[in-house]
Amino acid sequence: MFMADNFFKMLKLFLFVQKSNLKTAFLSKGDALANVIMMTINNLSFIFMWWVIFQNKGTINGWNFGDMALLFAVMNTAFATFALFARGVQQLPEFIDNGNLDNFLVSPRSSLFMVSISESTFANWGDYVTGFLMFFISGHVTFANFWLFILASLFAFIIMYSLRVILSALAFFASDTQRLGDNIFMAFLTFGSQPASIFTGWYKVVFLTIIPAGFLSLYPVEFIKGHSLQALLIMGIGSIIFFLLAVKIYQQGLKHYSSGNRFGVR
Amino acid sequence: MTNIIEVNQLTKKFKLKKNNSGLRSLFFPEYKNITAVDKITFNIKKGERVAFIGPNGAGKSTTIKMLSSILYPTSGTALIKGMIPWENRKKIAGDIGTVFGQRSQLWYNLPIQDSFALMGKIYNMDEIAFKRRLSRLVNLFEIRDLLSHPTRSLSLGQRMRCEIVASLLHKPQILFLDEPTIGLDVTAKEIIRNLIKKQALEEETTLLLTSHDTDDMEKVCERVIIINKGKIIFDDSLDRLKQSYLSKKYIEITTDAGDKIKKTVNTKDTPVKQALDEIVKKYHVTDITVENPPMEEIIKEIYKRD
Amino acid sequence: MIKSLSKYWALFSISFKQAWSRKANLSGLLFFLFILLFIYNRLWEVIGIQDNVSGLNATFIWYLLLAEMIILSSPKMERTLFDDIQSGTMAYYVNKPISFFIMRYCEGIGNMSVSFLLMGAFGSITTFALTGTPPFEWKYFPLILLMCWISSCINVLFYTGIGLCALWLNSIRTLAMAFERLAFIFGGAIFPLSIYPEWFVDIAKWTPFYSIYYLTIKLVYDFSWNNLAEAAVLNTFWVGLILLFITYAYSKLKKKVNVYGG
Repeated sequence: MFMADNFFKMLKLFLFVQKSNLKTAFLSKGDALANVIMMTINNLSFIFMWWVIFQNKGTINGWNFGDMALLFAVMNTAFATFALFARGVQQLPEFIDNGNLDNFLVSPRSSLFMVSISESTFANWGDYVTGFLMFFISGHVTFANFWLFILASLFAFIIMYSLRVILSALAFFASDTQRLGDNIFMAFLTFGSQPASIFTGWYKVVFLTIIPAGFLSLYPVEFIKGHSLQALLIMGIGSIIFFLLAVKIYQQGLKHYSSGNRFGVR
Repeated sequence: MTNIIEVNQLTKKFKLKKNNSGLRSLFFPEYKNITAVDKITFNIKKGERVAFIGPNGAGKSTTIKMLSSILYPTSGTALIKGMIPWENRKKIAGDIGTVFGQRSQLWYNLPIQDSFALMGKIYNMDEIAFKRRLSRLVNLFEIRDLLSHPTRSLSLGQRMRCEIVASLLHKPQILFLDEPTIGLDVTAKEIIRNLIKKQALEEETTLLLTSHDTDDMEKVCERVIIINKGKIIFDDSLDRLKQSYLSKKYIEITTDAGDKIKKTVNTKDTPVKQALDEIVKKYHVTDITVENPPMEEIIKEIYKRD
Repeated sequence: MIKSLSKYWALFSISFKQAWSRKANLSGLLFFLFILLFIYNRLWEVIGIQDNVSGLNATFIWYLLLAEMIILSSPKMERTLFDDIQSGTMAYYVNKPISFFIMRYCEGIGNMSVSFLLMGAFGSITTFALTGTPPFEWKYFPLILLMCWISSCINVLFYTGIGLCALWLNSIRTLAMAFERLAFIFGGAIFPLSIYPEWFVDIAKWTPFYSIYYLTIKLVYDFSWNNLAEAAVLNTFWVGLILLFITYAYSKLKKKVNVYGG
């Protein structure tokens, strides 16, 4: 009961913040719309590049362009969710270094939650456009598959978010980790946006365990296309484990937090 | 009355990286421990207005941050209404309000009232209670005209008034203010001090205010804790401090000939009024300032007497 | 003249040193570079596009390395400049005996050069390990590196120009991203332009990315003095154009600086 009540309050707060975000974005409407369009073109041009490759080669180790489209569908939808509703966690290293985390820590809500929803980039609505567009051209469109696609995107988002929390929390333990975290996160996304079939044997193990990029590419495609129960289980359990790990590391990190005092005592 | 804040042997050490260059430091960084707060012990009663003062780097902010659940201490304990703050972060959040002079909790691009509404949501206030509370504070702090302006368009003094209102919306029993007057001009400082005091008296808020400006404590507080190098060196009423250490006033005058003359008055022997009268009689004064001795001098004085 | 040059040289070297000291930052960059080289080497092993472009098999990874060195070494100049303009920091430099814009640019070049050199050293070792072959035309390699460094400088200049768009835009994140994506595609920075259909290459030729990235990087597998001259001439043209834009935007900005700073 208490949990449900708490969840409901968080949800209300979340919706309120999103309303404020939209308000901020619409302070200049033209700018907002232009950004969304630009982002969509961005994504499509990237996908175009892959389309050319598949035109040349037909398939890559068994993957065709339809599989690649599914990958981009899940990837873009998950990333849109991250960038619109949880991007604040990317700023965490900065908050830790300059002490601005203070304001989140004195609030009666979970500070990780508050930090996460504190930033949103409106342009990333364009990623939703791209994601859904890719799903509809993938050649795997059925009513059931649509919901599988949504579910896979949700798991992919949780993995993405958890990894970003872990990378951002590095700032609790060492200084100047902002771009280190950014780069590792980018490497993760880059891994996730390749046809998973190019990694075989040992490569596959490294690519799935050390960097959990398989959660963005391999499993969603197996799940949506092949209705693989195994892929679903791996995604579900994997994302829960990763999420719990991220929260644990964040909480450990808080004990090392120095409120901007690291570079001099105040 | 009961103690609302109890602090016992509270200590915080920071690790600082020694030097930052060379390959060796990348793999084997050398650290040096700095004790920011060193076994301090004190209690604060409900409704007390306490100034926590000391020079830069004395450990004031670090203490306040431990009490407001932001930092974990290295050792020692503290209790806020019987609870250890850093272990009961969400529970005590409703009882405390925090204002950090150099940080902002207001949304930079949105109108002030939106930030306030967000605070209301964060603290789960129901709509009616929130509106009533907001309207009361808005009147008290005289910010009605500012509500529709975005934060970025406010002056520092106006912003500080809004920051304080944002921290008081959920009606905390304890208000921590960390350097609330930093960077403000003399008039704005005066306004802020008066408002803080007025609010605290009306609602019996317990205040803990840090500052390196001795005027802040004189205008707002009734009790003073002086901290230096992490240790408490004075803890008593403002009156006691005034009698024993704040008895000196520095008077600086400019005569119409452009000369600057400095005088030191000991208020125990000569009241300020008498001293001023004598000066005005003696010189053609065009400008005059009366100042308390700076923090460093009071601290020197305290060490001398011990 | 000499005096003002030494001023900017000092700026360059101080930011070079500062960037050099940020080890966590640099190791993140190298990690990302390693991942990219690894992934694309793997992709290349699987798909092997050598049938399209003669001799571009192992050399492709060298090609990719140079492309990434140019693109990834850019120190997010657009963000620095954007913040300077929006926060009004720029106003504090108006009365200093130094051009604000050139100052930031020199710092940017300093930053970029550290990343460029490190990526060059680390990337060469990695690429050699991955492919087992040195780049073709060993004797021209230093010259090609110099050309790439110049392209990097031009790249930084473009991003500085994007930062100046803070004049008209509330956010430049998407614009900078779009520029980067276009560089990747029109500049052939992931796959060489030769794999794309002809109509696409024809469009690419009209963009600055074509010469700054593709023509310059291509020298690593297709070196000739002619190609080098073509890249240099086209680059000069684009630099002229962007400088024109920057001068225009900068003069506008100077008038507006009070508004932002207020």
